[in-house]
Amino acid sequence: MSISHEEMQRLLSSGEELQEILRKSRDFTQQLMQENERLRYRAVQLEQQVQEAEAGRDRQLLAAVQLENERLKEKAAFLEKRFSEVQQENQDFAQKYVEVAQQNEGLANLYVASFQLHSTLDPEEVMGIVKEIIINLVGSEEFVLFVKDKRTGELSPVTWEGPFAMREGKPAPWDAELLDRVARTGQPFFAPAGERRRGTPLACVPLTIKQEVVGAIAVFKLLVQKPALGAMDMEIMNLLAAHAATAIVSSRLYADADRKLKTIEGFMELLKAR
Amino acid sequence: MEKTILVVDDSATMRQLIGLTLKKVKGCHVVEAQNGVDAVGRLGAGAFDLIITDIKMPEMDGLELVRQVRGPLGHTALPIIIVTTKGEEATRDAGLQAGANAYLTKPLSGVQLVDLVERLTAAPNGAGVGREG
Repeated sequence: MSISHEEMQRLLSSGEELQEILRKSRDFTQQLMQENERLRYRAVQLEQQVQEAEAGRDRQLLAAVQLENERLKEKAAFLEKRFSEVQQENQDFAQKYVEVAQQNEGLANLYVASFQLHSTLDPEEVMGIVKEIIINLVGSEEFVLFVKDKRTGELSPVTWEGPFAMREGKPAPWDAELLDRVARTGQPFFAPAGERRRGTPLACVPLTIKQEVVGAIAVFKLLVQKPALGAMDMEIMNLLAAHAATAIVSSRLYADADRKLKTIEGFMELLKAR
Repeated sequence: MEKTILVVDDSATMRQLIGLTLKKVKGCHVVEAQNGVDAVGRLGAGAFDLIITDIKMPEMDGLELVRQVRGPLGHTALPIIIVTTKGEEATRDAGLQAGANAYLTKPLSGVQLVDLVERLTAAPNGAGVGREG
C-alpha cells in the first residue's frame, strides 16, 4: 500500500500537533502538581496558624476564667466574713432582746409590787400583799416578815410562810445575831452562792423609812423550781425594803388614826345622847 | 383579732402582773376572776379564747376548775394554762392530766407566757399545740 505525499505531509503535521498537545499537557500537569504542592504547604501553614490561634484563645480564656475564679473566691470570702459578722450581730441582738425582755419583766414586777403595796391602807391587806410579792415575784417558799414593835423597839414576826421559818409560833433560832445586825446596820444580807450555813436565811432585807429600820424580811427557802436568788430578786427585795416599810407603817398609822377617830366619834355620839 | 383571756388567781398582784404581761399580745383583752367559782360564773356569761389559772385558790382550786371546764362546762377545746408556785412533778402531771394545755411555774416568765398565749390562741381551738409542762 502506497501513501501519497500529501497524506504523508498531513500525517506528519498531525503527529506534530499531537506532540504539541502532549507537551502542553505535560507542562500543564507539572503546573498543576506545583500548584497542588503550594496549596498543600499553604494548608499546613494555615492549620498551624489555626492551632496557634486556638491555643492563644484558650490561654486567654483560661486566664480570664482564673481571674474570674479569683474574683469569685474573694467575693465568697467577703460574703462568708459578712455572714459571720451578721450572724454575730444577730446573736448580739438576740442576747440584747433577752436582756431587754428580762429588764421589762423586772420593771413590770417592780411596778406591780409598788402599785399593789400602795393600793390599800388596811394593815392586814398590806401584809398579805407583801406575802404575795415574796411568794409570787421572788419565788420564796419559806420566809418571815418582822416589824418593829413600837413599845419595845424589837423586831417581831408579824407574818410568815413555811414550816422552817417559824417553829411552834416562834421564829427559828437563827435570827438573833443576823437579824440584829441587819436591824442595826440597815444593810441587806444575801447569802453568797454555795456558802449558806445551815439555819441561816438566804436573804435578810431591812424595811427602812429614810434611815430608820422598821422591819425586816428573812427568806429561808425558795420554791423547788427556783435554784437561786437572782439580781432581779434582789431588786424586788430592795424595792420591798423601801415600799413595804412605807406601806406597812402608813397603813398601821391609818388604822390607829381610824380607830382613834371612831373612838372619838363614839364618845361624841355618847355626849350628844346625854 | 380580739382575744379574750380569763385570768384566774386569788392574788391581785398576780392578776395585775399577768394582765400587764398580756398587753404585749396584740388584741388581747383580760377578764379577771378571783377563784374557780368566780371563773365558772364568768365562763357562763361570756366567750373566752383562753384561761390562765393558778392552782392554790380558795373555794375552788385551779385543778378543779380545769376539770369543770373540760367536763360539765363542755369546753373541751378551750386552751388552759396553769400558772402556779407548785413546781413538783406530781402536781404538774395532775394539772396536765386534768386537761390543761400548758403548765408554767412562778416566778412567771413573761416571755414564756406571751409566747404560749400567742401559740395557743393562734391555733384554732388550741389544735396543733402540744401539752407543755
